[in-house]
Amino acid sequence: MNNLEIKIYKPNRWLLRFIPAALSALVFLAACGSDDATPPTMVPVAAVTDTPVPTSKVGGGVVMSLNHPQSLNPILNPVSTTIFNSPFFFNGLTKPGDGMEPLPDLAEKWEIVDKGLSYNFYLRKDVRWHDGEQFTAADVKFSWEATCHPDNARGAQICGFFSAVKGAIDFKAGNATSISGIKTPDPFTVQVEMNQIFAPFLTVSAAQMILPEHVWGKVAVKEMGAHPASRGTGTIGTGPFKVNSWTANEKIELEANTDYYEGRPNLDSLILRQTSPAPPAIAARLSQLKVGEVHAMGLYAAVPADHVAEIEASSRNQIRSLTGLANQYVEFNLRNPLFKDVRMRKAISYATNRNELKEGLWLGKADFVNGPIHPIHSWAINPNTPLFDNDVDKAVALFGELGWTKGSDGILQKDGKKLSIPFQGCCGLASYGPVLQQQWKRAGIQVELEAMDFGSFWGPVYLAKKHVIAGLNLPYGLYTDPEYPMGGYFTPGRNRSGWDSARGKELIGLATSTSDQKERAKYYFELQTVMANDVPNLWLGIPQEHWGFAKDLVIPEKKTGYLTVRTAKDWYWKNR
Amino acid sequence: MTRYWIGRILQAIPLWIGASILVFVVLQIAPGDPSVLLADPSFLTDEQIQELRESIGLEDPLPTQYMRMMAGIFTGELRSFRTQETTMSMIRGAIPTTFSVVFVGIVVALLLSLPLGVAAGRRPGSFLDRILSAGVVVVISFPAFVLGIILIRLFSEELGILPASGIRPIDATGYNPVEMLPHLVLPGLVTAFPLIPILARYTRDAVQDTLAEDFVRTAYSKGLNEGTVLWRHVLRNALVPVISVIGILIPLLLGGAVIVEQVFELPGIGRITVQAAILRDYPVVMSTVLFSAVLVIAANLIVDFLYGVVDPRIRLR
Repeated sequence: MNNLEIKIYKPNRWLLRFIPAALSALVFLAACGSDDATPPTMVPVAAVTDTPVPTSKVGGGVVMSLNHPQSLNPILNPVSTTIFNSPFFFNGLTKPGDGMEPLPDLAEKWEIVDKGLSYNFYLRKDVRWHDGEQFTAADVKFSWEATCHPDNARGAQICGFFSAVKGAIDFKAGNATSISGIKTPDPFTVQVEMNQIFAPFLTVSAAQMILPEHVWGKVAVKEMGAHPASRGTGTIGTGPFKVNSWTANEKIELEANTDYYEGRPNLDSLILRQTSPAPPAIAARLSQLKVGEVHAMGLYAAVPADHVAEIEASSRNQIRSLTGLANQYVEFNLRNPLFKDVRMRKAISYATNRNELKEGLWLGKADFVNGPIHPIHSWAINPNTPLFDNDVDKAVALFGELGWTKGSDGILQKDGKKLSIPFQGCCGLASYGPVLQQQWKRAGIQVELEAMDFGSFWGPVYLAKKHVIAGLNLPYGLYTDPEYPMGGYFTPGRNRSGWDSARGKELIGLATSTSDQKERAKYYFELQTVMANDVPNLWLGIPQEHWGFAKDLVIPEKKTGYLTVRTAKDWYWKNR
Repeated sequence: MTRYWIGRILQAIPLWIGASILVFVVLQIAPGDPSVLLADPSFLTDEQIQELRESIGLEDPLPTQYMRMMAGIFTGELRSFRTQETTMSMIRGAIPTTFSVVFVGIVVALLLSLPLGVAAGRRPGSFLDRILSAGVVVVISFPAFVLGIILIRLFSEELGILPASGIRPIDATGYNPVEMLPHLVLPGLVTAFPLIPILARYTRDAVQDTLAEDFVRTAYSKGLNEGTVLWRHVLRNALVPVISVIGILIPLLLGGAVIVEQVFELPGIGRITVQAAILRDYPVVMSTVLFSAVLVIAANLIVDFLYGVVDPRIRLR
């Protein structure tokens, strides 16, 4: 019990729960403490409560436009779609609170031992699968191991969330028959032993969806994708809705799980209607909302900013503008000699007028964060980073220092060569690209826009690091911890920008290896300053996500679309 | 006659195989790696990316990939890279939607274009005839998705008399023709729209030519009234080239279905194909395109057969 530090966490209405939780913690400590044990730190229960839901009516159904996942088995999907689809019918041990802090879900409480070197999860005993079977710790162990199974190539991304668990890497490599760090001493306890601290374990790893072992345990992992339960037939979860059917390219039909452990959902049914990003489909979707064929649309199917007024004017609907999913940004390929000198990147940043984008393109409905952290993680955002914005004179001066001077056509030239830069991207570039093209032209940069479809851009250009300047947006708003995009997109050595900062890499690592949020914030603050000074990216803004939904449909207010989707259990019709 | 039909069917086989090779080559040339759209490689090691590619057969030599896809198409076991559903079941699920829309489109187009064509062919150079000639250009240059959106605005949003989307009520299961009918009106109109002037124009020319035939003069001289001559003698003969045009227009109809299914969010073959192309889901694209090729070939064979039905002289030859 050397250096034992335990955080006991038990949520909900804090006045009711804080005292019993504190007492139980003290009793626990008294039982297992020793002379050399460090005193426990309690996580204040009051800080994390759900927003109260007003009195609601039961009944009726809702049709919502939403992208479908590639499989209804959450461990076979990339995170970006399964994260908002799966919680309708599955649960994790934890779920995100209003600020993305971990709240209990299938685990009613947990202990953080040795600052996060191990965890003890105590599971709810009143949870049953949709087919009536009891949910147990065996399901948790099975799900996490199936995620990291050597035959589950598609689950590798989610498996990454468990790579710090003892034995996970060996198991993934096929060198072990189970993940040694996951233990189930009794049917309602899961113990996790880590190789190292992984700060987002509670927010990200433990929030991954749990599968029923009694259904999937009989299926070879390689065969899971083709199994009917991955396609909506016999899909069993613990979530507030049961899957009735999935018609590909049309709809996922859900019905209320009347035995849900937190009480039945207000709605009798929920239909998730497949959407497409193609412009004709956007127009069709808006019409469906206006005529009442669809009752709610958000996330990737949100109402475009230039249609907000039209939907607000329709008698049936309302608009709720939330913090958007994605920070739109420009990424320089620093392998290109043109961008080696930070003054070039700063000059282009000065040539960028972010307010013009916000007011002109996003009609004033956008937030701005100067870095790769979503506003939902406000604790990690440094508000005082340097921003090189909207100063054409400074831009021209910096270009001058680099030997670029304006020619008779107003375009910068050096050694008889014009400053002409290809600007490649997909999703979103077609809208903000022309604005940037005009802004940068004022400073003398000639931009060749190359807007492509996602498939043509993502693999062949961006992942292959063939971009010169790329227009990007990552759906950070879906991710429950700021670390998530850092690892893959910004960490020096792994990123595609070629940004190589020893301190940056160290800070990303440090921010992951401590579970103390204040300490993490300190590292993220410094990281944002380092990035802001190095300018590997230009942060443009986070256009708001405009949810359109029926006027008499009551949807609890949350800060982001992702958190709003997760309240589906509490939606209800006011007048039906 | 049987030998003729067997010969026609056998001729179609190399054509179809040629189409399959062409589609496969085009998919290989098109930029994009399907595996990077299945799991974000930013979070995977090189080995994991390799495993993912191997799991969907992308590491095999191209001839092996092609043969496996073709074998999968024949056995019905070819699966989507993305959803791992068999492409056969995806197509089976989409057929009622696409066929219903195309069928309604053809019926609407024939109902409107035949009378127009006959009327214009009867009086060449008349006001109606000139309108028809101009209409061909206007209609062909009018994008189907714009018409779709206009019709949705008018009939769904403003008048509220027709649904804006879907092939059936969203909470319905299965395909019930009665429930489907209101959902088919607008997609059917949009599908029919580009066909109407083309068919009317062909009918007009055929009617004009037929009116100059001796047997028409004979019919008039027998004392038959104009209506009987036109509908019983002229139109029946004039239909032969019109039917051949319908056969040629099948690819146009299937191409149009891609747009119509996007605008009206219909779960048909066109929508599956577009989604699969965006996501580089090669097996699905191969399957749907080759299925469309079968439809085009079959439509042409049916048209040849219908020649004989409409004009017994062809059957006898």
